[in-house]
Amino acid sequence: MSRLVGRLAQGALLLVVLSMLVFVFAELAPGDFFTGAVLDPRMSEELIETLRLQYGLEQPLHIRYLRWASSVARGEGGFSIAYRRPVVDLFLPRAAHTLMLAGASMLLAWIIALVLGIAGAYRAGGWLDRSTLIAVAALLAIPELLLALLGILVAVNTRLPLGGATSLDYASLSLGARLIDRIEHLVIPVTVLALTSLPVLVRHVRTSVLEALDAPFVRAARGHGISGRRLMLAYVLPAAANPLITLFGISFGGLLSGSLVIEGAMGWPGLGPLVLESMTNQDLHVLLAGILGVCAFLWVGNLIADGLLVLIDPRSGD
Amino acid sequence: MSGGPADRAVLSAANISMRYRRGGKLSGSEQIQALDGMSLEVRSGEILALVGPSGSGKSTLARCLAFLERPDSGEVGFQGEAVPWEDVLAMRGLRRRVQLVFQDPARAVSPRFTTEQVLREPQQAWQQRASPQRALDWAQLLAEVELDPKVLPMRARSLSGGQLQRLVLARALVTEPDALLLDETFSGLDLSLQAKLANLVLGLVESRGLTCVLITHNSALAEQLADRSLVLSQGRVVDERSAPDASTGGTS
Amino acid sequence: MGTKVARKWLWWILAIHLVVLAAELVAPHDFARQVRTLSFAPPTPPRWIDAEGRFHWRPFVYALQRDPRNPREFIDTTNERHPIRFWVPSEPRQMGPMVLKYRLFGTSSPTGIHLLGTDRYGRDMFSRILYGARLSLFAGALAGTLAVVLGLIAGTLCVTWGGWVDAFLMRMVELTISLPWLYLLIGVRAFLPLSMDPVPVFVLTIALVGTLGWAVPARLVRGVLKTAREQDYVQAARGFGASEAHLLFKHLLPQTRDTLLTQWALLVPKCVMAEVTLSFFGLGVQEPFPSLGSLISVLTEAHGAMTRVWMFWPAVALGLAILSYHLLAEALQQHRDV
Repeated sequence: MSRLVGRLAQGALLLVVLSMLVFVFAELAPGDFFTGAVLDPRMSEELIETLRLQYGLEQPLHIRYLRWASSVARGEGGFSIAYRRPVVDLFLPRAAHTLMLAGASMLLAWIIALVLGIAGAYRAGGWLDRSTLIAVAALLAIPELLLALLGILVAVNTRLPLGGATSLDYASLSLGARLIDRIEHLVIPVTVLALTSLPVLVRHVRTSVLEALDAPFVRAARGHGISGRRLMLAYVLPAAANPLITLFGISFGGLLSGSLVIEGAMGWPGLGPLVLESMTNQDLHVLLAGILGVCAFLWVGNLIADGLLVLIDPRSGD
Repeated sequence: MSGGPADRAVLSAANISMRYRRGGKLSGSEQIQALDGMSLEVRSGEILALVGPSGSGKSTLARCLAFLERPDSGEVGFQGEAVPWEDVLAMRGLRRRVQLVFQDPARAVSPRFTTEQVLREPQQAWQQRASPQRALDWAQLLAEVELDPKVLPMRARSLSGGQLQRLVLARALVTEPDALLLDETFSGLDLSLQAKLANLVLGLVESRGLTCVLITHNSALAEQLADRSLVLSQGRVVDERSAPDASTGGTS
Repeated sequence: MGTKVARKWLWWILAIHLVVLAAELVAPHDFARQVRTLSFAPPTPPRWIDAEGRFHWRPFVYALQRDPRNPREFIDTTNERHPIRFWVPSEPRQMGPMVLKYRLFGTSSPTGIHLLGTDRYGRDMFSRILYGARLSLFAGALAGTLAVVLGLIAGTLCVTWGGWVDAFLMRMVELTISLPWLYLLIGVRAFLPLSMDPVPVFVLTIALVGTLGWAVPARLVRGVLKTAREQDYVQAARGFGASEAHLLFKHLLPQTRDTLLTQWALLVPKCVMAEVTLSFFGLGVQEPFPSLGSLISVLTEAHGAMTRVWMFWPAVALGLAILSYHLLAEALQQHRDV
């Protein structure tokens, strides 16, 4: 329990340090939100100066940081100059979409990886194992961006929708139709994202199961005539679970990166496009929320993996 | 143990201890006590055998006595003075005075080197302007270990086991050490080769006036070659035996 | 067997790089040259048989014109053949230190050859792919090299210094590996000016991507050096009073060679993709300078590029380049396992 508190404190500290770093770096970068506005003929220089004053961009660095921090403490998460509203209003729906995409594809990828990896390892060298390995090697050589492109191509040539998480007439649909609409929008992004994380997962599952199958106690169990499903469920999988859970924590980072590419390429309204957009127009508070949010996801993912490890193997707890 | 000048301690260890950590993160830090308060003295000109089963800390001791590894506690001494571990330059000089010959000669030479490069290394490694070295007398050196000069351009790892062992011995002589530490040098060889090499080493000890520490698990061999044997077990000296004729005239 | 295969792929990759390096010579057009009448024109393939069915030894192309019945489509202008010639004279232009007055191939008439069609602005896709691939592939190769060199330095520091330096660097490695690299990349890119000249962008991208890639090679180098240090012949060299420098350069670093080469082959495609991704999101070089990333991003814009098959050639080129690197890495890894 004290360990959990320690980890939480550590994570919070990390986020604070990170936010300070972002502020300092942003200070070093040339220009601010209104740099681009100078080119706009409708904006006079006086107007821009007033706006700068109004948003407190003329204040010294530490004051700006404290204002941002207090805004976060109030639950607003800062203020987006581009959208003229608190960052939370922008952040939460986007974060929900990213989590939906990442969560669904993680689930899909793990199910496929477990099935293929365990089946392949159980009959190592068999036709299923060999074809899986070939497919995995091929998939590994295709970059995320090109997979996303293939996904777009599929969407163009089928009835599946692309871009956005819902159709334009979503609000007017019935409950059942809404559900179908959401799922239809999810199909291609989730499939593509799952495919990008699949190769690593399949290889790891296969190796850990192979290693577990080779462990002395499993061989002994085999020698006692235990085989098939019982051997897998009672002996092999518990032994293979440890490295897989560790992998679960690590694979989160790669998934989020892949998610950014796919969100950007397919117009999925997640955090990725928001971060990219806030970056191009130097909307600092939104950028901060995006970066910190992603780091927090990552960290929570690792925390979950650690928790699962402790649950399965209490020895690793201390 | 009278302290006359003839049997002054070349190498000594005073109460040295050494622990290793082993195992992965999950199995915790399992510690192995390699040396546990070991003390010994190697007298000038003698052949001392350190006998013990595997895991008795022999190899760790050898590395400590060759100044390659610093024990966790205790002093290692050379010619009566404690070794200055912190002084990097002095240590580099000291290491040249004691040469460790490893168990497996094939692993003791770089796979990239030819025989000639192997023999040149002790001089190349020591590039100190303050103490220039004599040019290497190839013919004499090779004759001393009975090695055919034809092997010089060959890749060292391609030599036979016996040739490699001679090569490694020759290399150890380049720095003109005071003491040789032979770590299981004769094990793993067939008996006739073992005898030949043992005779070779005895001859070198004689002709060069070397001190020699023989580390082995083979107590018969120790008895045959050494003036004095120390029996090691679990990181300590548990017994000392002198060869019957050693007390009369072992030193030259 | 592995080395032979690896060498084959290495030559192939080298060949690709040489071709794109000489883009000024190989490309039949300048990357920014627009022909406004030829927006989204399809490829003009080299032909040997003309419209009347006659065979010609010298390949030729037909110029394109708008189909009068359907102005969205193009048709061949079959009344005039434009023979393809090698070493055609052209306007003088700079390539590195040289001034070129020729192109490798082309047609003598201004109508020109468009092997892979044109884009929305009537720019030659084949030429743009060559120039774009030069930027992306060289950025990737150099960034990969930088990453490997940084990893080598960091790994070496870990082993020679040890103690807190080692602990700190390994902690940084873990952190770098666990963070999502793309967010990290974009996060750092966020604090640099958006639009810059192509050369600073090129250098900056290499620096950014290379710096983020140091972690895995650093950890591997450290591992290799740690095991190498314990080897008998290294300990023997220490016994000769060898300095740390002697140990490092004579014994330890040579052992990292295979690891570094494999890591390089694994990192370069990742670095190429990092540059491509940055350009894809408009964070790399700016128009009219092409990168494979910006050429691909055209496909996701709503200008109908998706329906023009030839607009996929940049993606195909990228896929082939990445695949080549993967096959090289695969061959190197097999060689190491044997």
